Amino acid sequence: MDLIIYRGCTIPVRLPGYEAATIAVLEKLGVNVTVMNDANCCGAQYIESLNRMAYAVMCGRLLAIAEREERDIVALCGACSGSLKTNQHFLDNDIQARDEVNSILADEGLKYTGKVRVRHLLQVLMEDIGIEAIERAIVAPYKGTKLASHYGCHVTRPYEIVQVDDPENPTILDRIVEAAGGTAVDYPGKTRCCGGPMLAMDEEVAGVIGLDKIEKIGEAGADGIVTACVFCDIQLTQVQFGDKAGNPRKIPVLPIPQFLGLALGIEDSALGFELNKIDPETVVSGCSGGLK
Amino acid sequence: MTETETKDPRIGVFVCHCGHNIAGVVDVEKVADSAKVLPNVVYSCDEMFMCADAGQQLIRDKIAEHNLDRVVVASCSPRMHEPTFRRVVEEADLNRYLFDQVNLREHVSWCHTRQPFEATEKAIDLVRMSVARAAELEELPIKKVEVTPRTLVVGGGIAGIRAALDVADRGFEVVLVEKAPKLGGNIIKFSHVFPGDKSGAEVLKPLIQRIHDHERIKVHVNSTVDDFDGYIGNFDVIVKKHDAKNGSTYKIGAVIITTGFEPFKPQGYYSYGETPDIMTLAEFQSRSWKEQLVRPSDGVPVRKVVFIGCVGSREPGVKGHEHCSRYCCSALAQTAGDMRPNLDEAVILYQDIRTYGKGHEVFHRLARERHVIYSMFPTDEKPVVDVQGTIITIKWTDVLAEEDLVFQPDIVVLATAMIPPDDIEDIAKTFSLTRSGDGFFNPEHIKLAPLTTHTAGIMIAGVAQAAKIASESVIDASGAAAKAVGLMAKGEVEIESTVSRVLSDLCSTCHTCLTACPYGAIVIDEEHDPPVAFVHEAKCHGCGTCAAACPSSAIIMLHSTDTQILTMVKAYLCPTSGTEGGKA
Amino acid sequence: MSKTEKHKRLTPSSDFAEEVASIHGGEDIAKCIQCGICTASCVVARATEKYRPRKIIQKIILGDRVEVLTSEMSWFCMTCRMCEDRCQEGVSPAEIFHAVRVLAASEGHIPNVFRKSADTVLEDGWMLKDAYSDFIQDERDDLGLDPEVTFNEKFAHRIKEKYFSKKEGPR
Repeated sequence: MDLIIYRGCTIPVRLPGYEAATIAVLEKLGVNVTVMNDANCCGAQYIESLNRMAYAVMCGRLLAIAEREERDIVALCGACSGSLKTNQHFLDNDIQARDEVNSILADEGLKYTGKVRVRHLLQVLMEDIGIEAIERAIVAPYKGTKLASHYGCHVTRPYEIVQVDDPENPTILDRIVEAAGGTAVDYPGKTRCCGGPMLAMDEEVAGVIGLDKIEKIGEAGADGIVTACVFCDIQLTQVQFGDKAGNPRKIPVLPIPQFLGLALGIEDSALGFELNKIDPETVVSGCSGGLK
Repeated sequence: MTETETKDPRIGVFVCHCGHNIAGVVDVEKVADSAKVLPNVVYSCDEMFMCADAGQQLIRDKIAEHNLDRVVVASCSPRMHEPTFRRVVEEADLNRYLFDQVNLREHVSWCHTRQPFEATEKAIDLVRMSVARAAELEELPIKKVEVTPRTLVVGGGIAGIRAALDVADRGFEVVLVEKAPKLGGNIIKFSHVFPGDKSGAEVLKPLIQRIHDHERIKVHVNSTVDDFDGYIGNFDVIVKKHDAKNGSTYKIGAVIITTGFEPFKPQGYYSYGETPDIMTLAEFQSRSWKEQLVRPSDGVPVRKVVFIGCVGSREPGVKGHEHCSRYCCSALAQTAGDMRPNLDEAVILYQDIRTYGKGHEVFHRLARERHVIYSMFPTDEKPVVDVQGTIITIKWTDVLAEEDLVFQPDIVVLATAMIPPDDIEDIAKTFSLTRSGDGFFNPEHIKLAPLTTHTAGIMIAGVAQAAKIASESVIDASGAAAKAVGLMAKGEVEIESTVSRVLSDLCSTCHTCLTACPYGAIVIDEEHDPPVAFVHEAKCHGCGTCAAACPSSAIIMLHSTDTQILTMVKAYLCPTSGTEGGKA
Repeated sequence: MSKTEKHKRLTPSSDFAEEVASIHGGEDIAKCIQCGICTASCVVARATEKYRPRKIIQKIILGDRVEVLTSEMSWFCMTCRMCEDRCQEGVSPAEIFHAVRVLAASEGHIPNVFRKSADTVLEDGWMLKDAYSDFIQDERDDLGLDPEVTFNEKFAHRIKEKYFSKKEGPR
């Protein structure tokens, strides 16, 4: 299958490892990917809160670009995938809004007609590729390394619109962890937000929220955390560096393609581990492939 | 019939395992064995389930085989199976009062579960006591009284109307008494009866018409029950119009009390009484509904209304006002939701929202959808209402928004408590009924017998029993009617023979027993010379108060005579030689 | 009883709730029965005492337009949608607060951080142009990624001109 990756604002600059790992993993699993350039911010959180039509036009443009490329979009950030799906739903159900969007896009020769699907990376892995195919592709499984999954809010909610996984009891990440030979670890508050969006209004509260997650994951005995959203990844990492964090051992945070990539036999240099702010030693040492 | 006075009694003892219930703790075989050597016991055994067909047949077989004339069953509580075993011995031609039951379950195995040894000791003691008592038991006659096929319904509101029609439609006569000038109670005054758009009068009219047309219903309005005497199936009633000298006399088989309620007039609450623009929900409902709503004080059209719930209800420590009146939350939701489209603002101030009834939650949501503002106030800081001329100002705190609010409505509607009517104490005295904390009548058992009372033959229904909504009153009424009809259809009713009896030779006519009896069952028999106390056995409940009170020991309790009781004490304290037990 | 401002007394009015109900996202405001499950589920409410979704909705129902639109309360929602997932009445407090934010923004009540971030996006086309340094480009290159990252500025300017030039009402 052919997909176009929408990276959003943050990944190219703050988490390029996630971008690289995703491309490597998808290609390894037989998906042909291109990356969207000349894009724009999806408008999540900021533009979203200020003007609904502006938000719709911004996402509309991204959808129209994908249409032009005749590829479904795969989003790597939860907020981006949530924005794209929400606005697709809005435009599919409101003709006036759609017409307004298209009148602006017409300048660039773009048009939104609703032809392409928006997928989050987890949907591509679980539905388009399938867990059996992933299992078959594992060449260097982990030896029971314990991973806690953090799904992120915009990936799974609201279910009626995003339709990725059960919002109260999501399992996709856990199943990928197990398929790769790891042990999925459960912990209280698994479906709670990481606190990332709160950084804007109140850093302290954001820290309380994020550290609560880290604490619960630590108590559950996880060796590492796997994520499906760049924002969550960055938040769960940096909150462990704040002065409120104290001095416990830092738990490495990995976007899921980094974790999976190693088990698929992909070179670690292609996965961007050296850019991870928290040393992923406790996780990668459990992989029979190991770092080279 | 066996002659129990001349021959030695022949007692059979049956100890029940009750499956694991008794046998799991008590060594039932040992208990049965212990009974074998007791005086007058000619047969003793243990059995898995005495109440089952096999157990019952066992009793019948052994009575015949061993010529038993007393039966002791050691099993569950008499409340469970006394009637069962009495019937069994009767079928074997033995008087039912020659049977005694020992409670080895509720009184032994279930409460001494972790002490099986002591429990068995206790069981052996109890059986020994019962065997001693059985030897002293005497036959008592089985009494039946006739039931007059006529029911008295007191109170002509919706419950009374329903009960009267239910009874009369099944072929029995009804006397319906109502103190107001016409039937319909509270509902007939309401301009709006939910659901639907009809007024109370419209809803009740066809039923009231049926009552007046019914050949078996006699209606007395502007009347009360002036005198009430007698016992179940045979009550004597005098119904009188207010201020009349004489009344109508009736013989009555069963009574249904449906005296309902009156809406509380909340003097001292929320400035009620300071202006006609502050009114109760009942007063509000009694006004005309279809025209434009205007303020009573100055006729200005009403655009803003505040409703306040729980007025005079749910007040801990305030006697007669501690109960929830049940109807108000639903009534407020329905009224406010209905009115809102024609108002600028409708605000409901509440402590809780209890729209519990079938379909009522829909009204709550509808009211909110129409932008009725629901605001919760704290129970310890109620809204304050101030009246200046025609301007009403209300101040309160919203608990959920943590905000202080002020509002000037055109009218204020208070959902006030359902309280008993002002003559409820008279009714209670007349019919020997007791009342509970909310002021309404006590049922015989709140869960298992909610419509009967401790006075046999008298039922309560509707709000007379407790605050409730109209549809629930109708349910009560039909239930009480069914009980009345059941009684009258049978035509006769057994009365217990375990009553008190005056030994007239010893009576000194001191009147102590008369005053002591809670059921009014004792009178002075003037025909006797000298006059002595006399017990109306049909009214007697066998409580024993008179016997205990009598200073002359002139009253005996049948089936609980002094001999019968003291012999149990003696058997417990002084086991005869050759028997075990007594240690603990 | 706690008071929000010094002895301010609000006169309740359903006008504000009706206004919110007319904005996209605020339609279900009247369905709220104040049960509190949203607040019990809210991750922010768990972390700080100053935010209570149920309280904000009741303030809307009571009609406290000034406080709801001018305070920071509705901007604390992280749009995590836990409340929406759990609400039994089909209300999404997240959506309602979204509608409130849009309304507040149209009247000029925008927290600085939102204003600044939005300005950045509308100017550069994305959020992190300033952070996009040579080092980042090198890192990308080492990873085998295209070092060039492009976002369309012209489009952003069009959006700014059409929707953020002070002529529009809440959309």
